[in-house]
Amino acid sequence: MNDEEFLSILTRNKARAALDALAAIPASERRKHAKAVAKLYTDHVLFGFQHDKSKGKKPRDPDAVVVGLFATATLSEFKKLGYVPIPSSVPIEDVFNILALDWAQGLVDYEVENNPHAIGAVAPLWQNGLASRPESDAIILGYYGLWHERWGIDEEVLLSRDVWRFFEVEGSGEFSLANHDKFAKQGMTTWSARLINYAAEGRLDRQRLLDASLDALDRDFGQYRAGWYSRFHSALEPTEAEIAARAERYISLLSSSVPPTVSFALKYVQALEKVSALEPAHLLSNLEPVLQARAKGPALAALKLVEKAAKRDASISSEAAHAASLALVSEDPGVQGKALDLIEKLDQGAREDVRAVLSDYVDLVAPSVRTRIATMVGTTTQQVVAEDVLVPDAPAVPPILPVNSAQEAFALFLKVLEAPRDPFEVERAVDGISRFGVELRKDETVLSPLKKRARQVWKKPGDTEIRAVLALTGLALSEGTAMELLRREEDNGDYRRQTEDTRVQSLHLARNAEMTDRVLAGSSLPLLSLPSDSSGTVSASQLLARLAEYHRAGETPGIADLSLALMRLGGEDRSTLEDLPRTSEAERAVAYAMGQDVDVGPTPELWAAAWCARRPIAEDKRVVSLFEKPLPDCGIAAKMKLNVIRKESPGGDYFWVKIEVPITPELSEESNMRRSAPVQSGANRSYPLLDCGHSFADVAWASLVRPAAPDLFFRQAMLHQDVWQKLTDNHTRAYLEPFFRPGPDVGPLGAGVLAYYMAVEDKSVTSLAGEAAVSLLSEGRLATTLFAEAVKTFMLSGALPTTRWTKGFAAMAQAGASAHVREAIAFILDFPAEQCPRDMGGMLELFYELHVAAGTAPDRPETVACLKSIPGGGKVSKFSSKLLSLAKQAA
Amino acid sequence: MPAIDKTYRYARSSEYVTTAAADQLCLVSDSGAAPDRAERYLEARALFPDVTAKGLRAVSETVGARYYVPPSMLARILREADPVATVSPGAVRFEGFSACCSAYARMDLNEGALDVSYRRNGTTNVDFGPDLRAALANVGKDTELRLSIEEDAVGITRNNKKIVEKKVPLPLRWIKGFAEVQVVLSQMRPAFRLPRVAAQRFLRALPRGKNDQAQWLSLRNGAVHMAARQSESAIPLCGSHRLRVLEPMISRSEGLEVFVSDSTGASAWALDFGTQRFWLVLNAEPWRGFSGDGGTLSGMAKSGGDAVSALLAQLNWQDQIDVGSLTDATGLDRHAVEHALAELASRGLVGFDLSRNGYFHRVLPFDLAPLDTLNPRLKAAKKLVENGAVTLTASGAKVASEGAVHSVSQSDEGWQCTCPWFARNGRQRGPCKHVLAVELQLETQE
Repeated sequence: MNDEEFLSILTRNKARAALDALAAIPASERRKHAKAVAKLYTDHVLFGFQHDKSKGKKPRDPDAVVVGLFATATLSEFKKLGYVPIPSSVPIEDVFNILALDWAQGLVDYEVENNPHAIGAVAPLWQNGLASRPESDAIILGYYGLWHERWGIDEEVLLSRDVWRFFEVEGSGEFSLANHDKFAKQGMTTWSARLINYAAEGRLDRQRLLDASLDALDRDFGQYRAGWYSRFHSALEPTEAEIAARAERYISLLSSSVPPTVSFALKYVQALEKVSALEPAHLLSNLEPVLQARAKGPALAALKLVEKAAKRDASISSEAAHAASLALVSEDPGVQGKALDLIEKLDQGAREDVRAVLSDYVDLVAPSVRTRIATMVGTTTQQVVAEDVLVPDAPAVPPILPVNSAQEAFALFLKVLEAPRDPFEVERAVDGISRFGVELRKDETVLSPLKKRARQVWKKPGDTEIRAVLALTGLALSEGTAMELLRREEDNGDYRRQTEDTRVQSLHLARNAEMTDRVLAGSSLPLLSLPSDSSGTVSASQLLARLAEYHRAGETPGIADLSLALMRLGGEDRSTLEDLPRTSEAERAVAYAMGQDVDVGPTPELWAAAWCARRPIAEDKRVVSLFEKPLPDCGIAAKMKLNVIRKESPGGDYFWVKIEVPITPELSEESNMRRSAPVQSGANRSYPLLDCGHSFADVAWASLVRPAAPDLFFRQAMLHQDVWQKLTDNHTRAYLEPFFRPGPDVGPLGAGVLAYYMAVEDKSVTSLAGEAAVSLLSEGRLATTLFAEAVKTFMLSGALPTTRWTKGFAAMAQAGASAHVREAIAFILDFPAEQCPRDMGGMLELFYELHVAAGTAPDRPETVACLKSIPGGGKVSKFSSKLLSLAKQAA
Repeated sequence: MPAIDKTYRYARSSEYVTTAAADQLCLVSDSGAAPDRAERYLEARALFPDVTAKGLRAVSETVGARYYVPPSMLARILREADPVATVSPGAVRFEGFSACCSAYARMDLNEGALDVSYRRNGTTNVDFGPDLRAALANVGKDTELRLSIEEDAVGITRNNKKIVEKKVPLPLRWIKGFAEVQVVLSQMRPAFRLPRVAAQRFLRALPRGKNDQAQWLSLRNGAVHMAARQSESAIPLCGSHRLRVLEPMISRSEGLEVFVSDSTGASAWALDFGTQRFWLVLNAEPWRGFSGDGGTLSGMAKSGGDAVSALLAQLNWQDQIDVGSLTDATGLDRHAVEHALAELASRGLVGFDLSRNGYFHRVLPFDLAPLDTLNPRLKAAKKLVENGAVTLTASGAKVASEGAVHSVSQSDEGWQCTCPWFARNGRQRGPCKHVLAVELQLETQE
């Protein structure tokens, strides 16, 4: 029998008929066709959805092919597939019996361990005596994995044995009781409900269930999975007697490392305390973990328990005071205050040992509690740590030093090819190649590591576009081929080209292509666009010096390099510059950038770059006319406005923030430009800022395109941020890079970026934004009013929780900017009462604590008026009153 | 990934037994670890039981942790994990290494932590399951806790009890990292010390969930300031969730000491309990194992065999190895002794105690012989030399490797190479295979 004849049994028959036919063929004969059957299965069953007619006729019954697999393959061949298909129309036990297969146990062991979903599919093998059931934890995971809904449950086995292992086997990320019940579909019974029903029917021992669930909570299970056991225990609704019988268990769970388990145990301990069922000293010795809970509720509840215990047994007052002092570690001033209240209530504040303990906390409690605890300890208020005073650092502007040898240039280029996160290093590396490339090309052996590596990176650059650009640069240098040719060679029509024309990296690509073309022609010159210092700008004097070198070498500057250099041109005084040469277009453009009057044109992008470099900025119709229609920052200044909009789902259940930054002159094809706006756009070439890319390195490089006028970059920062996204290496942090460099004062859009970034979900972004704000405020580059205005715009939109800024402000205050934070909140507190965010309480509390710490009070009339008008109760009302009281005292 | 099949053989599972007189923590040692078939290592009473219990629990928790994989791996990891116990004249140490190879934990029970009634020097694996961990969570300061480490050979040979066998494929990088971390420790410097309450506040302020964000820590007004950007004197911390293991113990400690390795970015966190000390050593990133740091690769590449042999003869379970005494005893100079000690550390034969700023003797109970032969970088370097790929030049060397010729040259900071590995890692993770090959070649010529 050849393969074709054998396969026809599987393609023409239904599964049962195929099974009978295969049974008649000896096992050794069947085995010969294993490869052909495996191919048939792969082509027509596993990947049947992408059926290719050239691969033969489609089988009549896919199950027949699966049966064919069982008839021909070994278990190890099944394992190689990574998935064991089980026929659905023929019982698996029939397949093994009729084909006389002897590896049922192997299959069972493998499937149970590796695919708990499939346990039900192989269970008939042990139910029919063809294998024995494995007793590993994996068999229990099968219950957690929903398979029972499909395959049914052997209740006898479940109730006699397996159910008690539910309380011992925690499960995994996918398979757990918590997951099962959370994701149970409509009509499915949750395990919790099912076990409770069994107990109600008397088929399971209720007392044992209560104990077993507490045992499980004792077992160090992960928080999410442990939650099922505490919920199940509560769902059993233990009676007073049942709770009392397990008093010790609940007390012991107060030490659990899982906070929700602690809260769960606390609930029962509180119930026990109500009926005085607990020995006070014993209770006290077990309350430590709850007293130090991070959450306010459990800590306050624990303090109440301490108080009650001390009330019932006066002899333990000292221990109770020590226990209460543990709650001082809480960050919440309310908890700290209650702890001190209790110590005073117990009349233990004067004890030497208690005072010694309290003294550890003097510097760490909230300012509103600090004076009180200092008094209790006997420390004078002067000894309490004074408010931080932020001393502005003098902004240092270190120069960017070019590399000074071919070896250094080569090493640096290899380094940035691997890790291009620092844009200054990238620019130094490209400048190094520009100046030492000719020397490096003298010895091909030297360049061989670059040739090999650049080729690898160019083929697979990942999501970092700049690596593709650098790889292409390195490849051009090492292979001696122009970048454009290399690029065409690789352009196989794939829509995912390494560098899109709409991205800012296309400018980098064009600049490097000009540079490598020159180097390949044998000319070593510096890069015109290498930043002069850490501000990212190119100084006018350096640019002129570099241009002079080009002039001496008889080289024409590259348009992209010169345009980038002009866009980076620093804002220093250029009035002392003498008349510059105006022979070539490049020279005219430079002279124009330096403020001189010249004939404009014809290369649009060059003149737009030169226009951007002029100080002061003034509309120039000659530059505007170089473009088909007016474009922002192309002879006419871009104007932008920040719109923060709260969007809601139809039912109002969900809301989110929508950011719009409309720009004029209008960008009609902005959507096609992927939310980007061109800096300049010509008929043949465009230098877009600003799809800045999607990696940290790409965005960081984009931040150096116009360091002295970053608003277009900040616009992209606004549009690019995804407020809910949390990433290990969040690339949007690179949008904050300009704030950490010497640069111009921050305008409204920059302040908006800081305000927005402080309130996103990703803490790596919020903390960096907070640090940027602290640094800018301290340097005086960001006006507090501007910053406050930006935060207020977002806050009053109601599109993001106010608590995010509260946390950010608290972190800023801790970092030494408390005076600025106080001032900012004071400016924010200037809105109509009806616009007051509901979650304003935390910010008011912070405002209050900062004033107490500084010994000041709100004094701005608008702030005081706003505080008076703020509606609502709770924390908002409490701290409004406290602040008004401070203001009154100060007045 | 290369792995060594390690079979733990335990006479029974370790137990926590509560009796009217005392609680007994019976840690069962690996029967394969005692070459002379001695049954007992330790019999003692814990003088600060709650601290000891919490420390042991934390070691076990670290061993069971994998800081960068989804929890679906958890069950398998717990089955794999077993800490290592060392009994020496002045201390009992429990060590563990996380499954991801990025965190190392050690509990040192020094003089005054135990009332020892029996002690036998040695190192062994101890069975330490999740049930034991859960039991230890409830040990209070008034608990009478007795601690024993014994093999319980009775169960194996006389009583025919069921032997608990755990066959575990231990990844080579795990074993290598366990040893390598001692070398990293020896290169650390103190960064700062926090009093208890400030340390507690710092740990509470860390994000609750997984946090792979790079942070820089510095001390300001007695509290830790965490920043997202690097600043002068700040120490790096990435994967701060790994510090969570310290939180349950912090309230009993006297303070938290922090050490840092400037060359690798690794940090060590020590909770000081007076007579006991808990160490947590974190590599620079949670996804980076200590095994790849290659701090001793140059040493391994050279034939320091004589010095190592000379030192080995001097080791006798010392709690603190005195370099001065070793130089006297072996006739080697200080540098050679320190170098040989680092090599012994990478072979699992000594550990490093930062509080004493010195090595201590212990022998990791794993077969470490394959480390030399299986170390991928060293193996590749040897192959390059065998193939004649290294050509020494006036400025360094040229190494022909896989279609490229790498230039290896000396600078003030050390060797540098033109390979992508060096471009990515610099000198942070030891030498690349090309530099190693040059070192091997130079040694051959010498």
